[in-house]
Amino acid sequence: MLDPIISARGVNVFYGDSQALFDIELDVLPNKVTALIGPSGCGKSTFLRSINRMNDLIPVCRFEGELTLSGQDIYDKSVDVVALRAQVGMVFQKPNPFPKSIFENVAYGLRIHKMCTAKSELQDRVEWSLKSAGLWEEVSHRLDEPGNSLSGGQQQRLCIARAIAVQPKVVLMDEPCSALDPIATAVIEDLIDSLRKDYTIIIVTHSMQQAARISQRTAFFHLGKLVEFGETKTIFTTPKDERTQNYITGRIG
Amino acid sequence: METPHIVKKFDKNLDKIKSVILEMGALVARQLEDASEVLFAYDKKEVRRITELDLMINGFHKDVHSRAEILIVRRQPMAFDLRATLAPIEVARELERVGDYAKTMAAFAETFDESPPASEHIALINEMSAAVLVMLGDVLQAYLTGDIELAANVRAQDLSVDILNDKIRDSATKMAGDSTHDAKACIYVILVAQKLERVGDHITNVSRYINQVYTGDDLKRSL
Amino acid sequence: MIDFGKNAGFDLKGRHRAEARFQWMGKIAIAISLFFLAAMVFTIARDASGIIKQTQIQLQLDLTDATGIAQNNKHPSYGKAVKAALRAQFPKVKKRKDKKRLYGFASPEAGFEIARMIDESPEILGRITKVWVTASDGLDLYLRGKVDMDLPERQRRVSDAERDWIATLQEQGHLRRVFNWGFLTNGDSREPEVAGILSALVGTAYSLAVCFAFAFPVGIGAAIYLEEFAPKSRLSDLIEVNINNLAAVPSIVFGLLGLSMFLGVFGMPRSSPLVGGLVLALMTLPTMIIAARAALRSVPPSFKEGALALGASPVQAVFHHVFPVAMPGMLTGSIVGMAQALGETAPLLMIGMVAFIVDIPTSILEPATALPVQIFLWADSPERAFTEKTAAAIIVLLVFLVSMNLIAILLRRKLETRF
Repeated sequence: MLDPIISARGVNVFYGDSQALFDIELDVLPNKVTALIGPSGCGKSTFLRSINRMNDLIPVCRFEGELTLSGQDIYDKSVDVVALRAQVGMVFQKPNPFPKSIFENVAYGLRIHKMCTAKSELQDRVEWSLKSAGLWEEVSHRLDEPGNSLSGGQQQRLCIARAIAVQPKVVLMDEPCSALDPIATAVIEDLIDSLRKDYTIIIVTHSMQQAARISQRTAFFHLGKLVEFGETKTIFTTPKDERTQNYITGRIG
Repeated sequence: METPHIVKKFDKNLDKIKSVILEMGALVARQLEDASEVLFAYDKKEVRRITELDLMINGFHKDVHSRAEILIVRRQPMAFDLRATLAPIEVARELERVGDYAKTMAAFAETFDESPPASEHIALINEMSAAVLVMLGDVLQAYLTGDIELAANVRAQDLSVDILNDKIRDSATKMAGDSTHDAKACIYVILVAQKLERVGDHITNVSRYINQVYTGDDLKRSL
Repeated sequence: MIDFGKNAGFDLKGRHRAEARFQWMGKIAIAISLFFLAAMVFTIARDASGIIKQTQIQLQLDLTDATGIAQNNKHPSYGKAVKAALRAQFPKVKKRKDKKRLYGFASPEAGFEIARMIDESPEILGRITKVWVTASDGLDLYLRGKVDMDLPERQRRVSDAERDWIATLQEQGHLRRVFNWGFLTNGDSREPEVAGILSALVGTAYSLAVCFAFAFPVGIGAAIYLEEFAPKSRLSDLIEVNINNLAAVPSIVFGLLGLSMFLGVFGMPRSSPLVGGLVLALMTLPTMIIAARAALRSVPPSFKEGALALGASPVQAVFHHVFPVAMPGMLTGSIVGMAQALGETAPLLMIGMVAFIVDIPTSILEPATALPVQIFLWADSPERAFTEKTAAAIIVLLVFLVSMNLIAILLRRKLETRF
């Protein structure tokens, strides 16, 4: 068995007085796609956003427990959020390219982290990122055009290119296909599968078929608790917990 | 599954498939019963009727298959639902095979009319077909109620059917060997017993599918 | 078949009537407001039309012995030469009272005009030359038919004798009407025929420049901090409420504040565009902050989120992604706020920008006045010709205002990013 890249131990998250996550214990294995599923408000997005500390932006949000990335506690006082987020990229539900050119969108992360000193190096990295995101063929001749001139699926791939440009260890995806049509979704799913060999991917999705298609491991959250976590195949064919069964078969649980 | 599906139509469709299977099962059971009755009381018309029933059974098989197919296309069932959708296809195939054996058995009636088997063999065959019919009844009951214990019981019953088969084979082989009875009759007795044993196996398979639907475990032995 | 024409109990006719009624009411409301706007524009334009041209009178100027005046005086005036020229034109006029009337044909400023001509071309000194000088406002009004000659002579501004002289001058071609550049190039004056708008215009421009230079950075800075960084607490709520209240404070209060703060405490020069601009800045600051915050709030939070998720610091996220997108909105908001400031009179009165300023200010520290104040001053003047000046000044103010709004629109078009 591989060593987990992310492991959560007794994670509790509170929004003010209400508790959003209860004692989450979860190990994410490297170079695998881990899907987080569950009904709305079950805490799966909260857990996802705990991993790159995006929850810090919410003033009333409080975190308890231990969450480690490569063995290092990411909620430790010595951890700089900026450095953490360079290691943990994120792709959002709605494609959100910056209102800048396609090139600048991808180059932004490299610029702020001062990862490329020479201009040619920057261009190479942008090209590499766009190629990895399977977008290069479509945009190589129009890198100066604004990022939002692309189609929805292309925009989302641009956001993925932007996230992987800084070569993070982990890429978090928060329902990346929910705003896309089936074809664009299929392209992204294919991309996620090919990105798996270089990155660890954690994806929140509402589509169980999608989770079944692209993930190797699936975690089912319900009412802030991790109900079941295991091989995707097992979760979707023979789940052990009745709540999981009810949820994935579409029965009210 | 006691909890109703959010899409009521889904539950309805699943129930419909179930009722088609039960209807088919009832028809096959009738066919088998009639075949074992006509076996030693030859009636040409009856044999013809039983043979023609086969077409109807094939129709049921097709119906189940297409219903399951459309359900998968529409709802993409998962876990229990997926098994509950896939199992009827298998069950229908097994039942269809049972029907085939009933048809073949009925065809043997003419031979037995010409060369009647030994009376002890008639009794054993009747015992065997009765046992198989009980198994079929039980497995349909288990399918209807989702009773996996009853399904396990059906698999246990199959052992006695196998024993009966062995018994008939040994006895008929012996009789044919020492020429105490018409050899042709003996050979056909062995064939009938073999068919009934196969029917028992198919019913056992059905009981395995029932178990798989509810537990997710495939009981078929494999590597 | 369904009969769609049939009234099927839905009261369709009633609904259509109600809709038509509402549309008519809307159209009438628009027509009324358009009528008043048109009436305003028409009256102002009519009043102002009089100053498009101005009357000049030609004089046979004898400067043969005027050399001394130029040498001895710092601000030489050739009033005597003007009077002499007028006398020479009408040698029959002998009575003192009549002479005085005759002198009234030329503007009292004519002497200075001649001084300026001499400055430009000194060769006319010591010669007899024909020059055109500005005629008085009375003459101008008469020529434009604004003097009622049906009244008895004693009640008229133009006597019978004057009428005859004017007729003579016209016959000899010594009167002409030319385009009134002076209105745009001169400062204020006691004499309506030479009074111009330039000093007020420059004063306003300086004030607004100061206002923008101070209020824009401060307002934008405050807005960005409040909107993006300030922790939500009772204090920030209090500040927010107060900013909203400040936007509604009467402008004269800001004038008083400027008077006591900038003039009293800091001792800045009185009547200067610097102080005026600062007071206007104080006044527009709340408006600007509110507009800027609205612009910032309209930026989709996904940009900031995306940047933060890439590892940008909050300041980087705001200044790289939120600020540029909000910029056009903030600029328009500021320009609209400044347009408001442009029309303000009250606070400027408080800090002394109401003074009579003839000279065109060359820096923000010199005394100046502003367009609305100038309008206020002229509207208050007794001379009839100032009514026209007032109207013309209003037009200048409106043009200034419209062009500022136009700049706002253009900036918005140019800078706006679609997302």
